[in-house]
Amino acid sequence: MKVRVGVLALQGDFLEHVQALRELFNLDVVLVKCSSHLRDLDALIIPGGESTTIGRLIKFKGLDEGITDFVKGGMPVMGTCAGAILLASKVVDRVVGEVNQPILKLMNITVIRNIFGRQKDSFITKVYVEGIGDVNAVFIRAPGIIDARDPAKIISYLNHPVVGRVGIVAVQGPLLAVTFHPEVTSERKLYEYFLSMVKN
Amino acid sequence: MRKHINKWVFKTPFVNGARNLPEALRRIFEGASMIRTKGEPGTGNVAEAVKHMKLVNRDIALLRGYYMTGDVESIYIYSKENKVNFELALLTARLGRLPVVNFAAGGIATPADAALMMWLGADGVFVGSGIFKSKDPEVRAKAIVLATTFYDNPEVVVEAQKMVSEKASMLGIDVRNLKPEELMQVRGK
Repeated sequence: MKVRVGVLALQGDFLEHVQALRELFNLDVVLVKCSSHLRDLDALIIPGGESTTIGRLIKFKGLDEGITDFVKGGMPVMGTCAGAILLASKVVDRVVGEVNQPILKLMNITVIRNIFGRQKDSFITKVYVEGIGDVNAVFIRAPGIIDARDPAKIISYLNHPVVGRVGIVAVQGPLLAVTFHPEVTSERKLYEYFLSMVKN
Repeated sequence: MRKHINKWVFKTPFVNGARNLPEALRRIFEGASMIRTKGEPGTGNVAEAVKHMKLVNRDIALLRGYYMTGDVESIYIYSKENKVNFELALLTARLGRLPVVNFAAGGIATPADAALMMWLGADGVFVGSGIFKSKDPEVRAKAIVLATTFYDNPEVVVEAQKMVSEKASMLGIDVRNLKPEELMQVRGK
């Protein structure tokens, strides 16, 4: 049986994830827009986009509860950029501070939105991720992970010239928060790492 | 390119309007990061946006057909006849879609308009006066977001459309009643 990976398709760059998964791996890719789409999935990806928008749309018809149940069942979930924000238990904005946006609170991490600045402060760089190696990372108005509490663990840091040392990848069991965009490079490493969490 | 801004020198992304594929590809060549259908903005009349989206789709299908049959020569002729960069035409043919995101815009006023444009292949929608000139902007904005996101789920689109009243929609303008100099879509080909 082919592995079935769902990509949350409410808003953001889900299409890039779908294309990357289809081009790099031999698996079934499913667009997820409601709880019933989670059925029979082996893993889920929450894409980048606008985290408040995705957070609000996820609450429509209880998809947030569906995803929480999916995670309780031990299924792997990867959140990239806005997806990492949605997985976090606490989110703060670099400029406006405390924000009251709906998030899933599935990982014991604290995330700062827009930590590197505005859209024009976006950048591409090479980063080292524990257990994966060097990865080309595209940061687009990216968040940063400033705190991880057990059992969550930060497995990659970036030394940014302005912001300093910032956590950029965190893992907690089968949950993976990535603050950059693996879907816009053609690199397989991060996907391979995530897909290795899928139970056989 | 003389009338258009060279967008490659800017760090801020540009979105440009287009009525058809050659126009879109010329803007992308100049550095546009995003495209929107021109439609006829400010009218609350979605017909022009539909027309522009269909024109884009028609040419993409044409190029895709050439690509699938290995007819690179026809892609070259298309690019030459339409004053389009060949590499961009080839890329569009290979992808079977615009190389950048394409937003539907220019006359979208209701949730049903938004869902229709998504069905036609838009990656998203821009709504300006359709919301701001309506009598129910807050609920309308929410309803249009729902109809755009769940455009492929008819029940949700109906639900979103029921959130707004057609009577509260902005007063539409018939494009045929606009004077030629009042049309926005003919600016910058």
